[in-house]
Amino acid sequence: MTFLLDGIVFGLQLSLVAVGLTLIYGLGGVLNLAHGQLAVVAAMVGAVLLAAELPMVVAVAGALAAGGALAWLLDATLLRPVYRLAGERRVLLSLLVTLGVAFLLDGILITTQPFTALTVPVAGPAIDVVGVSMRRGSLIASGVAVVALVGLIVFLRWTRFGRAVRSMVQDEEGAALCGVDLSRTRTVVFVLSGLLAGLFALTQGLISSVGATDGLDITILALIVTVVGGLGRVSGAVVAGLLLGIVHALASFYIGAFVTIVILLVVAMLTIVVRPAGILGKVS
Amino acid sequence: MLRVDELHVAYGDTAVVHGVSIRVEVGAAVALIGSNGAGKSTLLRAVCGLSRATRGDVVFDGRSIVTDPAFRIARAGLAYVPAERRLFPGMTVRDNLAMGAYPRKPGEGRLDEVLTLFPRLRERRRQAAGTMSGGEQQMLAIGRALMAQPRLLLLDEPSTGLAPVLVDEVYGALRVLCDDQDLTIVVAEQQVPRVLDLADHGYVMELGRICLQGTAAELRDHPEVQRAYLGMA
Repeated sequence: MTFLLDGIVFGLQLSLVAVGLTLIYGLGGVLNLAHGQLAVVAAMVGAVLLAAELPMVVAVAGALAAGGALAWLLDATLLRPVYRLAGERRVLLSLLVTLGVAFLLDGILITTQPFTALTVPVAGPAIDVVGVSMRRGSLIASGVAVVALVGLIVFLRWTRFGRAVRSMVQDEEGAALCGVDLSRTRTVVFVLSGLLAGLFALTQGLISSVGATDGLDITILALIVTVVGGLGRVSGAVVAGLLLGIVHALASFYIGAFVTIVILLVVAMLTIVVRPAGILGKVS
Repeated sequence: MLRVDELHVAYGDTAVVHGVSIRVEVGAAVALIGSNGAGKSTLLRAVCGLSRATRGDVVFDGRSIVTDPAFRIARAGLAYVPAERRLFPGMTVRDNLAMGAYPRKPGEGRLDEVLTLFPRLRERRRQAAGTMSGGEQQMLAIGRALMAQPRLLLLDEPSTGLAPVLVDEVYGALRVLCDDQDLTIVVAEQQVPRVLDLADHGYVMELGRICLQGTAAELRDHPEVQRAYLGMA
């Protein structure tokens, strides 16, 4: 039972960090290798604000704003030439550009904030959940993740703008012919993915901590979840996150934490071989 | 309603449309005839903003739209149904139609009109667009374009790949739109007899240029059209 609950807690975190990545891939054909760094920048802003003894609300708002603003800046500047290309060339250029951004941000973070880490303190004793003692921080983090993920799915499924986003994932030109402003929609979704990365940083801070050098690890985890869930599929990313979270918990108990990332990669590889469109996708 | 002036369009370094001019009056049905590669699609894509013209002008309702992005032209009331249809295959018929009205809310009345025009779509409202037959997809593509209540409808090869009975159905619907709903229509087509039955005016395009124009009757009787497109000696 403990594994299951630990797996769900971690899985929700994986889902939260992966949905932003999968959305902008589906929408813009941009695989954002700096996604983890967006989360880390948000974490650093939150940590600095908390260290300055500002109220929690300010730190939360600051972290989210940092994630969103950085995403907006990326979309408005470096990704403009990327959007002008189509198909494979767009994906390739996006990989190079965002990888450069990832290294740049890593460099800046490691030199300026080498020892900063975001931990969001929660007071109070552990809570009993079906016989398992769970830390409050983990429960709050999971609750926030569930609300955010459900909210995102509802937004995509039942709002007019959400429908436009889905239509763009399916056919960009068709969406333009229907009157969808591709560039503006992309910007909104990119900012949304930055906000989600910021939210991930905060909830991860509730569970454990986010340090200055964690960007690459976060990106890799998000990539694995995105592949297993099917590129561009939000509901797929949610299911894949939960599944991989549980696999992760089991693997770290029975085998050891050192090997879990390899096991997750193996799951992703198997997915590509067996179900290339992701676990919720149709078998082709 | 629509005026294309000396339009030049190039793909990369290759010019595909060389100084084409056409006029479409309000309420007219205009045929754009030509073989594969004549530049019809390129011309239509440039008119609706999916490709950029290198020279020339496109004037819609008295306003130049030649530099506008596609979404703005669509919102201005110029709808384009491409030959590839560009549907959203994983979304339902209903969602595809709703997207046609974007960014406005899809009106129930309009939805009903479109479903009355294409009864097959009504039966398949909840079906994913990608699972339908070519003919049904063509109807959905036209229906989606109509959801925005456009004033001008451009269609590229609406009959391609369809069984004759479905071509009848599609052209029947276009006839209703022209006659009863006073929609202005431009149809690029290789099935010349069909499109000349629908149109009152037409242009013949060859190698990126307009080589012939006239009323539908004039074109039907023209020896060159008869030889090249109507299979008469």
